[in-house]
Amino acid sequence: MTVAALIIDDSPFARKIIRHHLTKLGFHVEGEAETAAQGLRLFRELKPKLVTLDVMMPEREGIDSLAAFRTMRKEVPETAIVVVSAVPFEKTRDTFLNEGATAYVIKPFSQFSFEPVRQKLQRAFPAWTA
Amino acid sequence: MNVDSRDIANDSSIDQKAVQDLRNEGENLLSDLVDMFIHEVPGQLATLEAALAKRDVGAARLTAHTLKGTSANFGAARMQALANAIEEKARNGSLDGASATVVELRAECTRVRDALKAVR
Repeated sequence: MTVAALIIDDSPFARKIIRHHLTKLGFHVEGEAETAAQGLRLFRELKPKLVTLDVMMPEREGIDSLAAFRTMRKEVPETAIVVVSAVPFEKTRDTFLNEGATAYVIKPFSQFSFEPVRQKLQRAFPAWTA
Repeated sequence: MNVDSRDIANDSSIDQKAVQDLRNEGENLLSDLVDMFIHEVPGQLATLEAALAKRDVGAARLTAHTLKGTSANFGAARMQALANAIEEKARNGSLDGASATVVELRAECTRVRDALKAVR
């Protein structure tokens, strides 16, 4: 089973590293977005099963990360959304997790960053065998 | 600026373990990231300097945050501390002294770039 993924992050470094790790885990990265607004458009177009969403991105077109997150949760609640952030604030993390984020990953990424995510995604996608 | 002396105790611009971890990932990840650093960071610095010139705290905060994130990938502690100092100033709504810090940041980015060129 191939699981389609979308990366939303304004940092090209982060996008590159996330793509690397997701590909290694067996996901198919179908799209990348630099802003929350662009990400929301690609979300509707590509219908990914997995989204990684950066917390801190410049607001464009009146949409920030939290707004995009809430919209995606409302439109397709079963989508797994992994929130990535350099902000280790508990309040921010709790906001996303309480509202249904699959996981909250702190940057910078290490070889171990995605292990807890992999475990959660295996539960989210039982047929996925990566 | 008030970067903790522990942040600059190590005179290496990048963390060799962080670099080795990226190299171990294979698939040219390290090399690609170094290329991105060389091409992306000058523009980010220019954006930050323009934001400071306009006293635009929002843009300064975001761009400094981006540079901080970039540095963290390579364990570039001093670059990270300098970018963080500017981000914190902007977060607090005052950019006093930030122009001097960005001069240091630009110089440190050059050191990091040269160090990365040597290890990729």
